[in-house]
Amino acid sequence: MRAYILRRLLQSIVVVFAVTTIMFFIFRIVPADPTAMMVERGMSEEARQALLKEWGLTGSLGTQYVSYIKNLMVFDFGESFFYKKPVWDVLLPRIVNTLWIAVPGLLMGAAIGAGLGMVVGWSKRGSATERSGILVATIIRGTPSFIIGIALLAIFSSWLGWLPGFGMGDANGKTGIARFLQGDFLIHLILPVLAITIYFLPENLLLMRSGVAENRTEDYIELVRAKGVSNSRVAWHAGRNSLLPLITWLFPALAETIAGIVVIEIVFSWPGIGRELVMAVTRQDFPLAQAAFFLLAVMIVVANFAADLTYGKLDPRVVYR
Amino acid sequence: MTLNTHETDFDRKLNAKPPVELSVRDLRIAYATSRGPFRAVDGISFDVQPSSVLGLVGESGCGKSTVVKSLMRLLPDGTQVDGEVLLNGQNVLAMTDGALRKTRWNKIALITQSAMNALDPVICIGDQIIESIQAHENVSRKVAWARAESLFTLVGLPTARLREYPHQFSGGMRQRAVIAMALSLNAGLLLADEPTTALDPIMQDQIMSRIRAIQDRLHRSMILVTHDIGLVAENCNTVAVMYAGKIVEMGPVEQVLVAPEHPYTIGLHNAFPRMLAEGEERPPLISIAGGLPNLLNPPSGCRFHTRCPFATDRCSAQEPPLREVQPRRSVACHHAGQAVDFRRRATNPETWATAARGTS
Amino acid sequence: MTTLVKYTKQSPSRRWSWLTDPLAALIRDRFALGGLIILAIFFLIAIFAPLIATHPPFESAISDTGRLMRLQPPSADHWLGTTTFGQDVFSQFVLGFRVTLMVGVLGAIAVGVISTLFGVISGYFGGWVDDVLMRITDIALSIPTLPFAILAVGLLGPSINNIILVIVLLFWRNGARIIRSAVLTERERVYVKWARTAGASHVHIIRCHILPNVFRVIFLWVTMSVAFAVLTEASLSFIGLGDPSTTSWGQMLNTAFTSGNLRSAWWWVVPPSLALVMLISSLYLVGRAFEEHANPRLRAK
Ligand SMILES: Nc1ncnc2c1ncn2[C@@H]1O[C@H](COP(=O)(O)OP(=O)(O)O)[C@@H](O)[C@H]1O
Ligand code: SF4
Ligand SMILES: [Mg+2]
Repeated sequence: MRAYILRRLLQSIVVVFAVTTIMFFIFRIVPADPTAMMVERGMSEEARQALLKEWGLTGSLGTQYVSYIKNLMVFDFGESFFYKKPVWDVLLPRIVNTLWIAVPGLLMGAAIGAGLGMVVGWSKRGSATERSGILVATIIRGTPSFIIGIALLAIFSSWLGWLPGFGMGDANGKTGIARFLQGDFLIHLILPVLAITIYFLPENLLLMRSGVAENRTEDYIELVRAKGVSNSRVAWHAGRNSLLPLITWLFPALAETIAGIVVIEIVFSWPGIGRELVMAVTRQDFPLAQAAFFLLAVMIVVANFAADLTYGKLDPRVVYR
Repeated sequence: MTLNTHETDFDRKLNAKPPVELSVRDLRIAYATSRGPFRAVDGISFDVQPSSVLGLVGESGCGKSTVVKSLMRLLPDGTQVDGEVLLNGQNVLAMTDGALRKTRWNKIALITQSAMNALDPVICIGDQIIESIQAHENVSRKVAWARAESLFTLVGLPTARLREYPHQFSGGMRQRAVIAMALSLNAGLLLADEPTTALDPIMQDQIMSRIRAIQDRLHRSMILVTHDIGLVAENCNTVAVMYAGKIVEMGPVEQVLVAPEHPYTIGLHNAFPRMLAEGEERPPLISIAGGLPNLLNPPSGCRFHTRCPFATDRCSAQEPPLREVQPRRSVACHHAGQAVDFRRRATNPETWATAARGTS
Repeated sequence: MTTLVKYTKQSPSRRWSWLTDPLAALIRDRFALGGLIILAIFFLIAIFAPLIATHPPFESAISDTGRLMRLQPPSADHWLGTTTFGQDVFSQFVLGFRVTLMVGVLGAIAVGVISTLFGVISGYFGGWVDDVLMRITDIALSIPTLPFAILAVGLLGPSINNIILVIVLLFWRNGARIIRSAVLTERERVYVKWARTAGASHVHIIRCHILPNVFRVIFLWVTMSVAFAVLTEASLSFIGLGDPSTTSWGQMLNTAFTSGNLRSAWWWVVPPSLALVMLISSLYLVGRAFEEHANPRLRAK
């Protein structure tokens, strides 16, 4: 077990390393001169050189690469061009903000989706519940996340006027955890979280549904029914077994899900890491963009790692080697 | 074989349960398929006396499992089931869902063929056993677990392995676990659907003698489904032979297996190796050529006529009813009276070869 | 994703069954049929878009009094009203069919070709090619899709070509994996082995035995890729990284959003939103029917 975790950790590090390397080359090679866009804004040659130096863009590609990796290893992303502060100082609060909407949204989406998926999967083949469940889930799955956001804004914010849909509310001068534990913030939290929930729900539903629909014809289900347990208990067995493929899918799916969250942050003007990434790219703030991208990639690697460990907990057949 | 287990009060209470009498009347089962109803079982009736063992034999696909599942109402949604399944006079097919739930496992339990996925792969075996107990008996987890331990001892498994998962068991051990689970509430009727088919011969023997020993001790009523005539001879009191969804011959084992009257039974008998008397010459093993007819469109008259070496014109025109030829002995063949002649001719491989040629 | 595509053998004797069986399944499935009909209508609109559009998409309508006709609700002249710049929403919307479907189809075809190439080579020949490819996809799968697209388009510049390029870079990797595992199954089939021992060339085996049998997997992936491509383009455009010279639906929504009219100008917001949902959902419905058809455990008996 420990050997497995170590090996898996090593693998993750290799993947992060590879992603970083790709990033290095994208940033060095794609814009022939990354400062070109600043130059147009009337940058002096000295300032340009200073900027290049600051970004580690002087010297040979080899030395650049080494210093780049060195910096990343200690999470030193340099200084944001736009904010004139260390990138880390800009991003850390953004990450916290993103987690505030992403974690509850994803958890609720997965839980409600899996629950409904069980109901739909357990309903009779060809029944109204099954067919409508599949149709509605597929349509929501086909709805881009920003349209879910726009719809929620239109209904709850503009039309009913119940909930705010812009930003995180007033900080009222509070910092730390107190900043988040005030009514105004929590009310602002509702719509983005709801959007993420709705966005993440249908795929969970559909996967759970096909898992349960597949499992219900398995021999072991017949034996469970023969034992005379309640119908919901039989469904529980099918659901428990369908959880495994769901988990395998769930964590890697975060890669795609993050995409939706980025856009949802923009719709609700939520100052998270995704929105910061977009703004950094449009402002040509490359150190910031690069770091935001790097952190998102690390999140996915960590999620995959977590998936493997969870899977082992849920499936006794998994042997860690 | 002795079965020394440490009995708890709960064990004693369950062991006192009486065996059940089963009476099946005119059972008809049609699966719903995309090409219309598939009549897998077509009007069969039989009885299982308390504490006796009925053998249900017939080649694969003749509808044995369908019959067994119908007794517990385990057939897929949309399957049409008619007739009566009387458990101590109560019709299982007419029960409410609640009553059915209480009857399952309490009065009828199932020993399935333990292929890899007969048990839930992600739940430990002990929990699967106590699930069946706690679904019916209001006992603590501890009492239920103790019961599971004595069941494991009964089937010859170390109790420590209750905490293991199905994939950690060998085929034979899984089969024992399935038997232990079937015995968990000491149901009055046990349905064993090919309990040893997936196992190697040595393991088959072990499992069957285990089942016999349990039967000797607990006196359950039982249906043993198999396509192995040898197992029927060793374990059953009565035997019913099925062909294409119908019972073609039924009676006490001594009679049916020694002097079969239906040509299909005669053929089955020929197809299996048996113990030879001292000095007896081994007769050739002859199998019945051809396969089961398509039940979406069953043959006219006797369903066996397409493969029967003794078929006449009457056989394809008129369906032979299951008639009582002696007390407790019935046969569905127009020419049952010629059984002695049939049995003699059936030992000649040439007889079966012509039948095969006739159909092709 | 990989585990979703299960796989059944088709009789090699029925020559066109690889094409007719899945098509028949699509038509039998009511949802998929609905999806196909919507897709057909969308394609027709896309083809005839320039004829249907009533105004040049970027022309600002000026009233008789010489004022910019901003945010007009639907009228006889402007069927779906005007934007905040006085542009005709209907014309932008109709031309959006073209942009969206072009990105979707071109992107998906490129993804399909590359995925098939890599998947077949990797699955059929195995060995080090396979190892290298699988390691590459391992790494590629850890790259967050939209953030990558944002960065790449941000660096390369927002144009339709770059958007398609990014889509291909993003989605070939999953496709290659799925097609590879289908090819792996196919490679082990008895008749493929016979063909090999009988001395058939690799090209012949791939063309006659492998490709027809993995066709449904390829088709499924191309269908899904159209959806992913449309979604990616729409998301990028909504964020503000769309090609400024076109009028895609994502871009219309972006303009409505950034100009602060998302909440009031329903005629500007609803049509592109609805069209996106219908298009992507239809593609998913078609894909779903395919998946279900390929999965014997889900198919009704
Ligand atoms: N769920 C089902 N739907 C349709 N036909 C079935 C189903 N289950 C079994 N059958 C068919 O019913 C017949 C009897 O099957 P079964 O009872 O399993 O036979 P046996 O147990 O004697 O081998 C077979 O022809 C089988 O193909
Ligand atoms: S009725 Fe005729 S066909 Fe049927 S078993 Fe008897 S002899 Fe054979
Ligand atoms: Mg059977």
